Amino acid sequence: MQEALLQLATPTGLILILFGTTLGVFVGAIPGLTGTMLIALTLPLTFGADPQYAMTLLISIYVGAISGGMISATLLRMPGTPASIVTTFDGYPMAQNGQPERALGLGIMASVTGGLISWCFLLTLAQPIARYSKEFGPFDYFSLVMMALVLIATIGGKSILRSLFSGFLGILLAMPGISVATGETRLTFGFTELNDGFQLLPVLIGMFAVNQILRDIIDSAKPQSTTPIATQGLALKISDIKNHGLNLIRSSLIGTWIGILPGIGANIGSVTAYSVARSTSRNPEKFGTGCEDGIVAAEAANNATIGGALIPLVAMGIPGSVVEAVLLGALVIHGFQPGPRLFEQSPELVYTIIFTCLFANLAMAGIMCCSIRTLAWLTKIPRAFLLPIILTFCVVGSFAMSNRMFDVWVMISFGLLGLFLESKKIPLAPFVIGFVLGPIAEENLSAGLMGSGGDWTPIFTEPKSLAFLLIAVLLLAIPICRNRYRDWRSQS
Amino acid sequence: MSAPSNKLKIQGIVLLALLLITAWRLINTISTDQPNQFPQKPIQIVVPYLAGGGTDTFARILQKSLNREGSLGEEFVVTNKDGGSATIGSRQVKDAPPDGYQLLCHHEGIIATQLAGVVDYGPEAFRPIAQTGSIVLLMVVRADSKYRNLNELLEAAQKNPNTIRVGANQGSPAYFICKQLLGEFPGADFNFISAGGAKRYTYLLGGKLEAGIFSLAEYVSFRNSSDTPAADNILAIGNFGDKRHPTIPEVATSTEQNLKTRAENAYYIWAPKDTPDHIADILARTFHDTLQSPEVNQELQKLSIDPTFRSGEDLREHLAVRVKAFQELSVDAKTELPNFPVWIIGIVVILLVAVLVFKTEPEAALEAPTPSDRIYSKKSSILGATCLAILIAYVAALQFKIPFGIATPLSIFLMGLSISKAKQTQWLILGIIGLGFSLALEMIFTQLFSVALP
Repeated sequence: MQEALLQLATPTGLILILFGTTLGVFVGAIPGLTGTMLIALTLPLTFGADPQYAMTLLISIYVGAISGGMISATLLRMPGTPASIVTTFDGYPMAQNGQPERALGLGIMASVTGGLISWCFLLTLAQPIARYSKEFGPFDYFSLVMMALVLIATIGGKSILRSLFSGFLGILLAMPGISVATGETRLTFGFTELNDGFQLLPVLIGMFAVNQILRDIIDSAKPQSTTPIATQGLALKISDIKNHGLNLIRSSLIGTWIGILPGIGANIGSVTAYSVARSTSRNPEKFGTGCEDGIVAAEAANNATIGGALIPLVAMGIPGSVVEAVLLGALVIHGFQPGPRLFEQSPELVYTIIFTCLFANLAMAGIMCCSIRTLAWLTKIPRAFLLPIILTFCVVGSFAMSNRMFDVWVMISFGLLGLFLESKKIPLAPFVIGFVLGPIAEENLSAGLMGSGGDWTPIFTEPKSLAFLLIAVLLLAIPICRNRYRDWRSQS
Repeated sequence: MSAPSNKLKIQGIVLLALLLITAWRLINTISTDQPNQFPQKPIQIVVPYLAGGGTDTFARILQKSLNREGSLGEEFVVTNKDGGSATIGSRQVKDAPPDGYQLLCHHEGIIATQLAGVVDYGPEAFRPIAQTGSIVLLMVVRADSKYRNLNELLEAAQKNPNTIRVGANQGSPAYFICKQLLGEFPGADFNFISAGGAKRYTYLLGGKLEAGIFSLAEYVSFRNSSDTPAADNILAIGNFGDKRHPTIPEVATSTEQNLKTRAENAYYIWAPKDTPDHIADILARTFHDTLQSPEVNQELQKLSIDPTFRSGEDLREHLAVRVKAFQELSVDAKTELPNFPVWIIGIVVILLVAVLVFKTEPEAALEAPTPSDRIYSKKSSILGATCLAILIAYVAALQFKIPFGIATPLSIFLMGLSISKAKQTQWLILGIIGLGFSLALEMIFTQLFSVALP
């Protein structure tokens, strides 16, 4: 452990952390570019480097990018990853109400807390916790995903019916291509470009960034009603920590534990934490209108998923997300054998990963706090300059992911679809979550059914699977029951 | 008056400079175009699996050495295209232009997917460049399993067919090995569950599978130290290779266990079918040289991959033998699964109808105004449509190979102009932003990341 710390404490180590985190924050903040892409593109550049420094750089970028996504989500309503969609619910309204700095400040505080809490688990309990991920069978994964889909439907909009429609439309549009379960090609209508399906990145960029840019362009024709931006700086008080303490800790724990589950964690940690925060809040109706608790829950959870997701990677060699798969590849290329024995074979490397995670979180907080004034100024750049540049980023970002012009067309089409859906008051968040989780649900349900010989009952008889369904029902029912109770009291 | 005019002058000079740089770069790219020399740009090695898997690791070891030696003068880039039992990646290369810039690194799964009916093409749809290594395959159980050898496992599958759960994607090489094994025990059958890579490992540990086929490389990295509790470790009970492997001398081969089933897997490099001879030769030679290098040998040894090399006629014959071996086995009808697309389409239609019917539900009326509720004047819709048209024209221009350096500044300029309602004061700044920005982007992507922009 000391060796790892000593190496990180050298000027080179610290500069790499600062550089990586800064790069990650800014790339994460640019709509159209994502941390995943940056890491995948940076990987080959680290081949010649010292393996520990290489991991330091990559993980710093990872931490920075997840946090940076908050900036565009809050200021422009353009989330860079599915994980920061939830941040737009309250962050954007708050920024629009003239408090962008406060919204960002709360987000930073929550991100750091989430990052640190999950880091404690990573440091102390990585081995025992990682075992917990092996207890999950296919039906458990399926129920967990269904839970997330129900939750996003209840928090994403005002009408559950519309949200559900949006979610299932997302699932449907994730279906064309080769089925994850059987390998058969379907719904491509003979169009071979579609055998690959629609990729997440162009869909996400289209739905949120392109849609929002077109909307902004349309709005820019009207006389501007500029909201005065409050220059209260960070505006965080000690009382904030007191007020949000419970929420911070709860959301971080949820983020950490869900983050551990490979493949799902990062996407639904924030959805679940937000939903729990809303159900337990005294003012659930304030969520979605610029509520501080909403920002805190979403950001604490999505940063906590990083520490959570690193646990199976470090302890068992199991990647939890695309980014982690790339990190795993980096380990192998540098001659390590990621697996349960990584810890005992190369402890210095594991500690480098773990402590980079800590330092990068701290660096991220410092960088974001310093640049918050500049960032809020982003909203003041003349749109004639800002919007065309962001659009170009979107085009380049969609293209560079897999070097296909097809993806760029997909991006534009989904931008128009997003514009259309929103004009019909159908929320987009359930669509994207459905799009991401649909294939995971199908894959696990198929594997489960193959194992049970076509029997569906394990969904209700497996304890964990049942527990997730019950949690979903509970989180659905609590707000409804509370409203009924309030109506009933006010009437009597 | 002099201050603004000075500012204008500076802006004008900057714009002029950027224009000159752009023009110079364009002329440069045109003049260095020599179509006869291969390679001219980075060569993509498509890996049809996720990063971090066996095939990916193998490809990246080769890539590292290829780029270190740099004998071709161009980089090799590994791209992961996972999904659909590896057919998404393989189809991409099959349909790629036969110019040697897209290669596929894939094992014998390419034969298996054709025979399983996943896709209608197999090795014959490609030009095989080289075999670049062979892999040992193992049957693996949890370390506390009651099945201690292949015979015990198969006798159990014979006594109670369909109760032994084995992780293998339908039509994968692992699946074919199992079919071959089952053929030796009349009436025996496994319950196949699709689970690949790391998931197969967690399911095995979690008791969701009884057995699974792993490559030696996977086994070596997932195996825990011997003092781990048996419930948290895995154990190989059979090696399908010709002889015991020095890395795991304790694991008996299937032949030693009196079974006829033998299997190995190998990595091949494939190119699109019509790749010309001279390009295929250059590539085969390059891969041959790389495989000879001591670094690669050392790394492959760590992964327990033997650096077997075949190319040309030798390779074709070898492949024909392998295809024949697979053809002798049959694939069962797939497990009956619900028709998910039909279900989802049904649900979406029902929900759509419900949304339309309940349009006037009271909560909808009470909704706070969302951005979409604002009344769009005619003027703003025209503006929106103009910008959309510019965007589409921009992407179409890129599609038709108009250089990035021309299309991008133009689109930024035009779009900015329409948004700012063609204010003259902003012309220069927009020009500077457009040119500077596209130059910077192009530099970053092509020079630093070696990604060729459209």
